[in-house]
Amino acid sequence: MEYINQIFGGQAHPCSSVSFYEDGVLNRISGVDLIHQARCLAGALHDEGVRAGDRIGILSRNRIEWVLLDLACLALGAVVASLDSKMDLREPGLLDSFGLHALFTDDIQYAQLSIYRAVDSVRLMIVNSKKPLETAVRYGPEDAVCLKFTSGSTGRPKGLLATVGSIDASLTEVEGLFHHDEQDHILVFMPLSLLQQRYWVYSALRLGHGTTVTPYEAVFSAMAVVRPTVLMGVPGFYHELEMLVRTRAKRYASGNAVGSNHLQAAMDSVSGGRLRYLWTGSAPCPMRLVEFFEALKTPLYNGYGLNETCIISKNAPNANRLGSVGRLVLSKKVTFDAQGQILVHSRSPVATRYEISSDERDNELFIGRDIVATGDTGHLDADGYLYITGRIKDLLVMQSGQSVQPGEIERPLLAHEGVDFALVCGDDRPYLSALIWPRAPGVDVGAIVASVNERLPAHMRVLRYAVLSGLDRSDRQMFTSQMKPIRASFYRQHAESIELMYTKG
Amino acid sequence: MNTFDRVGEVLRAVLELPATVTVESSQRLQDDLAMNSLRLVTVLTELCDVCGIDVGSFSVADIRALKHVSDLVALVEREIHA
Repeated sequence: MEYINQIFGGQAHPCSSVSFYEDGVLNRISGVDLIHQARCLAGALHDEGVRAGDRIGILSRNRIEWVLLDLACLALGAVVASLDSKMDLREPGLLDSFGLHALFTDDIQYAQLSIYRAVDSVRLMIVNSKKPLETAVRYGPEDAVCLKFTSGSTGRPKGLLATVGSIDASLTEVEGLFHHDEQDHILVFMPLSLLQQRYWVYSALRLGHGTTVTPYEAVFSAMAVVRPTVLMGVPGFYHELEMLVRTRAKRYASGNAVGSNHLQAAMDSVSGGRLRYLWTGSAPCPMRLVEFFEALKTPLYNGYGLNETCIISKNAPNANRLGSVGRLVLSKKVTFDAQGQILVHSRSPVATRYEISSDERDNELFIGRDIVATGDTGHLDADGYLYITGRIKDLLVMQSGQSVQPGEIERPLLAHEGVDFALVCGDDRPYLSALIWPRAPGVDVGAIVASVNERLPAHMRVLRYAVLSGLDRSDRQMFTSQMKPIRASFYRQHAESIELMYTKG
Repeated sequence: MNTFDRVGEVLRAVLELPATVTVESSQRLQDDLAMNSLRLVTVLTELCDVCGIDVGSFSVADIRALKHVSDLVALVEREIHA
């Protein structure tokens, strides 16, 4: 099914709308009006000299202007370069390497740049637009519409041009699994700089389900107002949701034992009581969280995908196996190389190379036209469910010669509700150690480590640990945009603590 | 119960702070209480529910400006007295 071409090709859903929530105010805009405004903005951009293929940078919190710029670029054939607020664009040469025609941003620190445009100016451009763009570009499946960024191994972001075919294929796959209709309402609070968050705007316009866009600071406030049926978040968000529900349930129980009725009432109070399912998948999701939401009759569907491949596999209604990342979507196939690495074969590849990269070796993960070497290890079960076991490059080879996938130890540590984050070390060391961020001061980390060690073979036990605080998951030096830890950065930043675990008597 | 005590109570409940840990107005939310920006939104949401305040009253800028426990107390008091 085509999405991108049809939005401007007269095939938008007649009753579609997109809402925007910020500072306690909900604005609902019909699809017809939103598309008209985007055409006006496209006309204004065209008058300013923007042409098909030009790159327009957007760096802003979630707001209507973000969506209008994205849609206007789609209509015009311009490429949206979706920038992450955690990127340091002042790094010499970085912004130049993106080749931007203009940078629309709400960050005034970039006001001195010649390409700077205030995001607020978008409204004025629409009002002053002399003529809406009448004929939108018609794309072929291999045409690129978005420059999306991913963390580079050197710390500099890598950029790839995502194709229309990959977007259409992913949206079609998702619809085949979840069947969103007019009764559904999807709350988008993760940054719109992540392309998959914008998918929910495209599918709302095409299929007629509701979508509300909000900055993440307003997520719980928006939930109470919008009463969504679907949320898409990283596991860290679901930790927070769980914590909020448990705290409120305890209050509802007024000193008595917390029962399932208290938890359900708290969940309904926080979420608006209409949730059909929860979506996650950008980072490993602890089983404890999946089970918590399952018990509240709100399944948390885990999945697997990379920036370079988009969706690969997904648990879904009637095909949900706990511990797995779901069955493969129809347009993807996986094979495994000699090391057990997952190789993804795509019918509609996202890209065949990085458009922006400071290291040519980055492109080695693209094999031919349609295969991506994921760097992840895993296996398929007899029913076709995929399981991820770790990262090839994370493998720790100890002085004994034994190799350990740190994820095998980190997963049970993270499954404990007292642990916010944990990273295991031990490469070229005599034993394993761990950096542990407890969820709150005073958590008995020693007891948690001991209980995890009990279930592990001797060579996989954590013999020393360091308790740390002040974890910032929004720090792009430490976590990728997909919320995966950048191990080298953690090992570097905490080198002293690590050294102490191997030198202190 | 005054606002500071309520803030302390909610922080204790959400963060599951042991009785030995004291909450002080000068404490930094991120560095001393290990709160990231999303955790802060969680705490604020529960605090509003406890105090009968609409969490939608707070702007994104209000939330981004929160650095210390005292900021949280001042923000809630602002809404109580609004």
